[in-house]
Amino acid sequence: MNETDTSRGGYAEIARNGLWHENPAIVQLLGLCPLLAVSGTVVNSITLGLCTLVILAASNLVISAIRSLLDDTTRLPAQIMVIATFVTLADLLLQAHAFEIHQQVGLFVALIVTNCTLLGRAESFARRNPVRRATFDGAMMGTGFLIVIVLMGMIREVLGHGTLFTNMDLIFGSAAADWTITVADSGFLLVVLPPGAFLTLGLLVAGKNWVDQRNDGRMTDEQG
Amino acid sequence: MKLNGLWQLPVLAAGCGLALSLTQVKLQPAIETSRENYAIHQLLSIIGEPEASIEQLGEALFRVDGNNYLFAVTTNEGYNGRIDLWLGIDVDGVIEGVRVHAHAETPGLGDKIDHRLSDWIHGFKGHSLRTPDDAWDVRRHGGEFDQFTGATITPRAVIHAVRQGLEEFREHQPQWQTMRQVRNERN
Repeated sequence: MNETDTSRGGYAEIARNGLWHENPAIVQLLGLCPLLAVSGTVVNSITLGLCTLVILAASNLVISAIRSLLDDTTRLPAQIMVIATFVTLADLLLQAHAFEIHQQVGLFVALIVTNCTLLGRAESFARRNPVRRATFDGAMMGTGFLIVIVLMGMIREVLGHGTLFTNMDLIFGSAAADWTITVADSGFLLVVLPPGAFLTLGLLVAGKNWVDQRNDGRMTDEQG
Repeated sequence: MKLNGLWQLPVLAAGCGLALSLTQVKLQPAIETSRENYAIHQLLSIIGEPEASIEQLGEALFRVDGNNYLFAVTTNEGYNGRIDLWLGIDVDGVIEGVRVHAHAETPGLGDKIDHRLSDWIHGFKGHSLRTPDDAWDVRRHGGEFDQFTGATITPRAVIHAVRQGLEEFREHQPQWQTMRQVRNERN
């Protein structure tokens, strides 16, 4: 991560960084364990992505709010404590209101606490910025992560299972039971397995770099 | 006003602890209900009727739609010890479905008794005590059920446990029929 001064720049820049330039999933490559393990289907991706988004915004908020009370010796344990608290809260809420999806992704919800994106944003942004900016940064970084994990879920579900949006009723209620789109009767097993997760992520990273390079090229053309 | 971190962490920890305890207390009933509904849904999926009405008669005994029963059977004949099964049996003593609920059989060999890994367990559907005694075994021993490549002890243990479950059903059915729902009695 580049050590830029995060206390400068407007909200638009925070949003651009979270969603694109410093996207936690495809640029910083943080939180890979959940990103790779849970992105097998869209429903799992949305659950984990939303949990990460909410926890990241909430922990950034609290860490920013208490930042003046902490010094170098208490900072890290305090940040981890705040993150762990929100992760546990999310885990309890999921158990109470979406038990079946918790059975599938529960382990990875608990593991959000080890997602480096959260401690990374706490360290590099929340503790140096006022509450509103910090919360916004958490929300944008979380959204960046959510978009990538859902994109991976869509790609892997279509190619791996031949379906899209199966079991969405687990999070959106029974109205979502018939959202399933069947594209093919079966899919490529490889895409569902862990190597498929790595390949999909690699393609997304390459795609992002390709777009960046093309834009850079266009800019130099215009200048030259 | 900093006291070198003497108070910040304890106060923060107390705050986090309090928030978590309150949430836990508040959500516990909802979590219990969800867990129960999930377990019941899993059980009903054994007999393929997720919407059926279910009454709990004992710790591991359920009555479905008034006549059919779901109950737990355990065997210690597994290659690696204990195997826990759920049996779904209809009013005539015919098996509607069997599920392995816990086992420690060898991954890749004996674990094909798990319905998520193979269809083998569905082979019990339709069997009852009318199935001749000799047929309750793997093919290699003259029975009607497939063995697994490299594993015969595991399927045999399950086959015997299922048959024992049917006998248990025959023995207890009249008694179960008159049993009242546990929760009603408790209330």
